[in-house]
Amino acid sequence: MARTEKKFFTVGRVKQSFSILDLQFSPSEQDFNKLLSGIQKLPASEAKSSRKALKKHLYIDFLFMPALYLFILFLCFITAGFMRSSGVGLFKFLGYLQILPWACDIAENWFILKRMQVISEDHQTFNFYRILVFVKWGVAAVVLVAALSVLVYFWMGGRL
Amino acid sequence: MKQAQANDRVLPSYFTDDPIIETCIQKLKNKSALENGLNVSDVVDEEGNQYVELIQKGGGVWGIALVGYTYILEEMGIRFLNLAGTSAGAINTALLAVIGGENKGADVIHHKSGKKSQKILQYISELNMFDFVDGHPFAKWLIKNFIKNTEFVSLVNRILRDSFLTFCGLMVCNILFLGLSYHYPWADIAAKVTYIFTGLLILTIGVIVYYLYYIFTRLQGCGYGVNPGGVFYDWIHKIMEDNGVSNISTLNQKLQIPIPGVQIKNKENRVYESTTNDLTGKVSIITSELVSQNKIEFPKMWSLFKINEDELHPARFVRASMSIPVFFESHMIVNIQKDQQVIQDSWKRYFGTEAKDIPLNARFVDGGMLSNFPINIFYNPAVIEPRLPSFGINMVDQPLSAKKQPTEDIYSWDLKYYLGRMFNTMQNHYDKDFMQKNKVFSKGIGVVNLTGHNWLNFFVSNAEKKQMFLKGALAATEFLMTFDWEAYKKERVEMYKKLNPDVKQDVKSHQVNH
Repeated sequence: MARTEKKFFTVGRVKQSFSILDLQFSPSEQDFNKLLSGIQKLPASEAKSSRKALKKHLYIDFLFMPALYLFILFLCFITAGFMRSSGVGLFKFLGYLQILPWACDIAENWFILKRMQVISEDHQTFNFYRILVFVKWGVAAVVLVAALSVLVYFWMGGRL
Repeated sequence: MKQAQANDRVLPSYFTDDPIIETCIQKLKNKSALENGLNVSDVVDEEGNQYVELIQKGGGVWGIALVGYTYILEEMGIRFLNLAGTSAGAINTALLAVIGGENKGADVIHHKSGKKSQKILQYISELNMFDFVDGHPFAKWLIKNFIKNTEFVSLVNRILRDSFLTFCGLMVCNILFLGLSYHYPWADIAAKVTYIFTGLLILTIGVIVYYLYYIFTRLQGCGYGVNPGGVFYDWIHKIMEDNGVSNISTLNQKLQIPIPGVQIKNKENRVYESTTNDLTGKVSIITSELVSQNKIEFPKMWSLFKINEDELHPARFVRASMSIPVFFESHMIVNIQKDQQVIQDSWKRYFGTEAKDIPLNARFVDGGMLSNFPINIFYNPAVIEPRLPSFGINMVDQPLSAKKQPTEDIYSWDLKYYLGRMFNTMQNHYDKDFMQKNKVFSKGIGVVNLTGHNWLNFFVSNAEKKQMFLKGALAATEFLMTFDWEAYKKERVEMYKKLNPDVKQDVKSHQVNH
């Protein structure tokens, strides 16, 4: 995926590279649309290459998602295995909660693919897309860090 | 709500109807009545307007003071034949150069004899300067707080310190509760909580550090400029188009519009003969080019970059001149056709550059890097007795108090002050050097003291804009009260004689018109 990202190019004032994070954390819908429409302004072969790379990245991401979220889920279950009483239920819940960022990730990629086809302005949908991005990153990162932190505690306590 | 009202659109009269403006104009009218007219130039038109050259210094949002200054000059019948400026000075220069046409009338401004400052005020009044800060919202927020909130840096320092202390505290708790967890069940729960908080704190710090790295790489990708400057470019471009200027040709056409009924007054009192034949307008916008490391004057040096003069829109000159490093992205001209003879000849003529050394691309930053106050731009050493003076508007930031200045206490300089002084020394040297060698030019310079106004504060309120406008007006009044045109002319003649001691007394044949 890092290799495909190197082929992401667009045209703002001049030709410039961009990353998937620029699309995910775009400051405004205008900037988001400019990044995508700027791809069309590249010379034909470069535009084709850039579009292809972006699509490839998003499709690979669909395959990468189960690996990542299942990893976090299993990590939570492992952590739950070391916990007592309410901690068990909590981490099992956090594990199952990964379905939420997974769904957000799918919706986010789908949104980008749709917008690549037809560049339009729809503030409500874009704002919802932004919420999806923050929920995805927020839930996955916080749960991952929480599970790892507790496992580090168990490891330092010699109980791992 | 209060903030919104402070920055609501205002009319030009918000600035010009102030009692201070009225007082300034009355004071100058009284002087004019006493002395049988305000005498500032020998070039006059059929309406009695007097023509001068005007050089305007750079200074970010201080540029509003320039408008106050020119407003008073225009109210006193002074008009601008030749114009030059850097950065903010370039903006006002460009506006003065493009406004007006060939016709005269009640609602029509003549390019030479018409008053333009009112129109410029209208453009400024319709503008929210905050929009010029068109970079990433995070950068915008950072700049705004850094400029407006004097406690911002302390706040950031406090947050960093508190975060560090919190991290240390959590680490202590982690170790403590880990130890106690073998004996006390509650310590087991407490340890898990503190470990989780430690992890979240590390995650937060990691996200912030990565975000700063991401912003920095974006900055790198944007030529190390926080703000693209696109909003500014669109604004100045539209004004130029609205005033019929879309390329260098149309700009030059405007500049060539003759002064109506132009004549040299007091010919009998002039020592040397002069004509009006070559009295057409000039404009010069200064920028710094980083690839070849040269000072560039636009539109004069257009042929360094393009084959056809109409390939460059004059708005690009102003955009290039105001590109404050880091604050704005540099302005670029790419794919210079260095294999073309006209371009090679230009580089050879202006800089002695050989064809193989001509750059492919040019990158422009603020002209103030090299010449923030180009007072020498129209100086012609062959002129013995000038027909019109060079007026300059200098803007400074000098505390009025007689207390010991920070500059004197050299051991107390902080990093910011140290870098600022270094930058100012380099920036001002070129112009200062000319002023020291040609002291007569200082007689034509008015100084606007803008202490207390941050030149980068694009979030300036209407009240503060008005303050700067009035300071400009007051400085213009003070200047006109003391400017002595006859003494200025005499000093210029003496200067010529000093520089040319071998030239005979009767040098009428050597007079070059200026």
